[in-house]
Amino acid sequence: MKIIIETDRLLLRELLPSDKEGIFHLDSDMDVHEYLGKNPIKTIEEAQNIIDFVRLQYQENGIGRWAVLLKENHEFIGWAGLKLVKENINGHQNFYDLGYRFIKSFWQKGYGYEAAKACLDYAFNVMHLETVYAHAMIGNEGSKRILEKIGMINTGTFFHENDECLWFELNKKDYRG
Amino acid sequence: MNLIIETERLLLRELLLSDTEAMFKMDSNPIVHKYLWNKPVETINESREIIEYVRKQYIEHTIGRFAVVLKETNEFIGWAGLKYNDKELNNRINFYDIGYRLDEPFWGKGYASEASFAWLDYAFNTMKVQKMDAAAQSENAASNRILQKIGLTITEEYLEDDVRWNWYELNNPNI
Repeated sequence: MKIIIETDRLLLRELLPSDKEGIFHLDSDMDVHEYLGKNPIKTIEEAQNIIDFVRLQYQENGIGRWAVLLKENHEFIGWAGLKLVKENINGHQNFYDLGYRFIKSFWQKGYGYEAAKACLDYAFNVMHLETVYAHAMIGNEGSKRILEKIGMINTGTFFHENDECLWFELNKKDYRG
Repeated sequence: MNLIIETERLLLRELLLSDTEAMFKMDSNPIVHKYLWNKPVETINESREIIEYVRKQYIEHTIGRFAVVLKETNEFIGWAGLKYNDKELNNRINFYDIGYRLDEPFWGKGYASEASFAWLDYAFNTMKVQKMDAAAQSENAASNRILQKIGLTITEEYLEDDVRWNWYELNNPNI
């Protein structure tokens, strides 16, 4: 059984080993990594490791980030989805984090919003989660705008590995669908 | 967000109003309704109402039966999936059941089992449903075989309008 999430323009499905070129394209770009620690990957093996790591989460946690494809031509444009974060971030542990990352040529087309919104729907309506969390580095206006637009609430800032980040939360009782 | 479940040969997606004609073709066939209540639908309007009723369940319960479509041709062949029963059935209320109905040309090809395996997987592993129920008329050999094949077991026999039914259950092995 494979789960596919469909939106107006996108398909979200599990990341597959065959997405490694797409992940490499995404994660080897310094501009994509501007607010992600400025440490893009350099080899296709690293892309493969990222996919293996996410696929392990599907098994262990039943969830992980998904590949995002354009519906019209099935082109890989990035990833989005929920991750069970087991380590401590901003005083939270074992929480569901919403995130996304897109190849630069697909920025500013509303894909991030469209994918993030579908993932939030999935979190509350399918997984029945109580609270979804997210964070974005200060200065990453694109990411901040997406989180605000899907209705997540900025509840403060914190330092994550020397970078100041915004913290976002949304409880299902405040989710308007 | 639209959920689609993909199996080897099938796509499971929400029932749409554009499925009305295919639903009518299936549900107006007396053979399809032999082990239901022998009341096939008579007008296309009834089929539209059924789809509207299921679509209301998607909103109220975030689930309901889904259309079954052949991956290869995109052809509608019937429905399968989960229903949250908020009305009493065999002395039970507020439970999930699994069910399916395929148009006659698509019987005997393992499609109902394939769809039901996927739905059981989705119910137990994604929705974390605690227990799955199902019912089939005792005489409906094919339907009983499908429920047994996907792992449900008969826990009760009961009568509804003088017809014998088997009640099936399976607890989520992961909870």
